[in-house]
Amino acid sequence: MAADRSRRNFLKGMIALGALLVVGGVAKPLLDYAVVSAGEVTTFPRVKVANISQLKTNQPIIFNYPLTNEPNYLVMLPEPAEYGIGPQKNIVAFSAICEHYGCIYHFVPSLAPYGGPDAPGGYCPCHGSLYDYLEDAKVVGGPAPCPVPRVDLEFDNSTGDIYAVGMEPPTIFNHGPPCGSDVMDDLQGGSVA
Amino acid sequence: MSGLSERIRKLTEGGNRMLRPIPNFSFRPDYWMGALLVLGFVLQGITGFLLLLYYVPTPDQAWASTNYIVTSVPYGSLLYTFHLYDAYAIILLAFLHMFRNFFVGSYKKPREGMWFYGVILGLITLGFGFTGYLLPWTVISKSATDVGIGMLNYFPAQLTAGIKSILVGSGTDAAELTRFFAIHVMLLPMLLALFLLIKLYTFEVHGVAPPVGQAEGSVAESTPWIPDGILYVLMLGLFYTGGLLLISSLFPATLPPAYSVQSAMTVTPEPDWYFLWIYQILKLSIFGGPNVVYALTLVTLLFVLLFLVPVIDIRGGRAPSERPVVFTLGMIVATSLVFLTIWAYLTPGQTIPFYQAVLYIGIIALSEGIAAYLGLRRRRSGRGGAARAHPSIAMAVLAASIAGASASLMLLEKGYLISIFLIAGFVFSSMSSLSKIGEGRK
Amino acid sequence: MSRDALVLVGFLLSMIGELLSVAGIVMTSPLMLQNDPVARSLGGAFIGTAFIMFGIMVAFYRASERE
Repeated sequence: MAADRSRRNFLKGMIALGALLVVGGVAKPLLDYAVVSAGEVTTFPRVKVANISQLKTNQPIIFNYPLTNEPNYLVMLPEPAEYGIGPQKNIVAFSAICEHYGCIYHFVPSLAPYGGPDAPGGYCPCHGSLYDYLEDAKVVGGPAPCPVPRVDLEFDNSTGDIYAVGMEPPTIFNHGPPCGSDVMDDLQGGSVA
Repeated sequence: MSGLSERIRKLTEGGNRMLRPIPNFSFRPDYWMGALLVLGFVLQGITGFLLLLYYVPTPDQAWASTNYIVTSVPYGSLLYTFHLYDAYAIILLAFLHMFRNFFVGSYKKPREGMWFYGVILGLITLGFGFTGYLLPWTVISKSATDVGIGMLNYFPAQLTAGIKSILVGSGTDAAELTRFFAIHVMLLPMLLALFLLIKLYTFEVHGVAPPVGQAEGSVAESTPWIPDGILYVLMLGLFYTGGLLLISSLFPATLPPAYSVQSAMTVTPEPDWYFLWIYQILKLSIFGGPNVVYALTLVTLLFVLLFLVPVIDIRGGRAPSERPVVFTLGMIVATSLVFLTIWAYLTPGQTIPFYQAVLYIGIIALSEGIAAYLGLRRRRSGRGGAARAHPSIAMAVLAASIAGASASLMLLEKGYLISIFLIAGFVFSSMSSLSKIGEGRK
Repeated sequence: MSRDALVLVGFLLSMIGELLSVAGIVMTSPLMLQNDPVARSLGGAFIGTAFIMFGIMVAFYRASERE
């Protein structure tokens, strides 16, 4: 009788182990299926955004770069700006996603009404972050932890075409850790087009 | 025909053998909130299916197909509104159901399981709300959802990479919508059905918790499920469904504009009302910027504590006077939830100075604590307090809403005097009613 | 009036209420196809009242069972 009892317990234990093995064995394939590993984009594409003739002062053009879920503002400013390109060094482009909690902020011709300097830039209606577009989107107000990333632009003197060729740190919101420094993260978490 | 009536008789008897008879004291709506929740979910399944006949889950078509339902399909506006309002009703009912069971102490031995499964079902319910909100792809819902997901970035990547990936896949809008849709329409319903089954089975095992003061298992006058219980549930269900239909038709929901980057620039994203209390905690000044991870951890902790209530409040009986601290904490939480929700609604996007939150919640906690102490302390002579005290649910709900309303008067900075009177009135009324409850059945 | 009579009257009145509601549903349904906003509210409201009326009928039926 005692042998029967211990045999029963052994069998029960083995069944429990078997059940665990099945569940565990299925778990990995399930995760492999459902959890997406990093994408394959490894270099920043070179994309024509617009031609200088299409730009009007303080009227931004929205474009997605490098991935479709990464909108940016390309804008011609009324005066030369840090890292500005073009004949007057006044064309810049920055990510349109606020670095605080990911709201899409507005481009405004002057930050003064929002408590900032009298410069064009970004005002985020969510919590009031202010980015000064004349000074590489420096944070001049509000809770944003870092400036919005700048898009590397190239200007073709002969045609007037403006190209997006890369991104500067910090990383775009929701791609990599907050205010991360590895711009390659901007290439993950979405698709190019 | 006799064959038919014979079959019906057998089914009736079989059913009545399987299911416990319903105690007569429980033929009151507050004992049936769980049943109404089940009905609510069934209605969501039906209306959800009907919406699925026209809804297309891709970013280009999600809003357009929803708009088509609302504007161009006969009864489409009613269907869309009903699905939305029933969702809100379910979430509200879930909170009320939870607090009701907290106040009557029905999570005590042997019904701890009911509470655990209930909290899991509550999380599933909130999951339905979170995933469903994205589907119409409006400027408000998509922006709010993305901010919600964006919060995950503030956690260490190892913890959240898996969750984030399941939610948004490769990160494109299309992947995000597909996954949210799949979770909302397949995964959560299956999880819901599973836990509901477990909870209903557990309920049948233990039976309904008797009113406080009545011994467990004491013989109560009961009625068989078939046909009387069925009729009662049918009646409640008809009032619930009919009422919602009436409200949905008289106050049709409007579909906000479609999402686009341009339109997103013009809105301040906010979560839907049932998450506003979390939103308000996140907006506290001490949780600014990267500190949001502490706020989210705190909220997670609160849910864990909620889950563990039967373990935390393991001693003593169900009467409020036997568990005064836990009971009072529950009242403070209920009031604070209402208060934080109202406060969040009044302050969209604004950071809240920490001292203000401490002050307001402190006033609430203090006033309710005093009232509870005065009302719940055992009487030294005469009436045998504990065994006779019913938790008065109505009183607790009233207390929560009075305190919430008076606190909101504080926020609106009108009527300081009114709020003082309200709080004082609440203190006195709870003193007298908490001590008096138990004078027979209410 | 005796209790039984009252219950019966209530039952019949709610049944009439339900029939009227269903009539309302049928009458407004062509308008629902054209998406007239006022009719839309009415059409849905009639469905709601039909449910509620039936619920009241069930309530009176239960009352009649209860002696």
